[in-house]
Amino acid sequence: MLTIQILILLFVIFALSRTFLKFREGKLSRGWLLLWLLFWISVGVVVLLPELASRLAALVGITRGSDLVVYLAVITLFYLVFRILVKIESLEQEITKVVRQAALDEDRGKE
Amino acid sequence: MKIIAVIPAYNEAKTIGGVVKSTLPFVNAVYVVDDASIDETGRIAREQGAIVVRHAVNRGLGAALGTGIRAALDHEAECILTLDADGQHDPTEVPAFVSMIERGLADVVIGSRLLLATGMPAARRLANHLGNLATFLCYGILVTDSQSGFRAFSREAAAGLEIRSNRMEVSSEIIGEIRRKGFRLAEVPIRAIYTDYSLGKGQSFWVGLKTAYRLLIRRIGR
Repeated sequence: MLTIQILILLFVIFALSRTFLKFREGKLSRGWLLLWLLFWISVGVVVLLPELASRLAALVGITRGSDLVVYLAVITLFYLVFRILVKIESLEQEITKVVRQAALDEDRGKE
Repeated sequence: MKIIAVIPAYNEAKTIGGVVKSTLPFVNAVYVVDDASIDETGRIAREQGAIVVRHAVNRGLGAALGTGIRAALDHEAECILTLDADGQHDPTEVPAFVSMIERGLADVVIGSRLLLATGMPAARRLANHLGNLATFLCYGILVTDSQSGFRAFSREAAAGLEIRSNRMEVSSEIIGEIRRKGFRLAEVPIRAIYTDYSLGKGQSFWVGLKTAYRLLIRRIGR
């Protein structure tokens, strides 16, 4: 096994343990637990069986398995960032709503 | 007609007193929206006779305007003015705005500093033209002073415009909303009063860039 495979596998084990810990602490719902488990296990599988990535890559017309992994990772990251930005915008609106309400309530209260 | 002036303010303790005092004679009430200033803006405004509405945390020009307009509407305003807190606007010009609203000649009146060639620094003029261009590209209306904070709204216009911007891109968004909701827009010439104070405060190039970016995001999001 290559060094990188061992390192990533170690990290996957670490990530899995952290995921379980957060779930036990009540900070992760069952849905999220499942999602993250699936994700990290997939990472582990691809690392243990790199031929799998190569096979998938060939299926979609790319030469190297690692290229496919990087493409998917980048697309996923962009999508997640998009979701985060949308969420932030929504939060900004909500904060203004609350601050406005408090300000107006205070104004009405004075009468 | 009940006229209320809305003045959003953030750390303008130096000038807010004078602005409130000189605006009061021309309106029924002055509402200052204190956007969580850390100086004495709120207290000074209140002392000069303004009703002060205070944000607990700083939300930006757009949010402050929204709050002020909401408060004015709640207090049955029939004509709502907006002015800057830094003394750049001459309150004696308020009647010109009010008269257009009163006579039903327009639903929204925006004061333009570029209708009269009055000593606006070249850098500001360029920034303004860029702002006008950005507003045109985003909303399809070309006005001569899109970033002007000196405005008047009829009650229906004030109530009908949906303002979502929190920060400085609100000026452009207002113009876009006017078009979207089909309100009538008119421009009146205004004097821009530049003092060392207001010039020193001037928004930097980077703020302008950030505002343009926020405007773009806001426009795409619509």
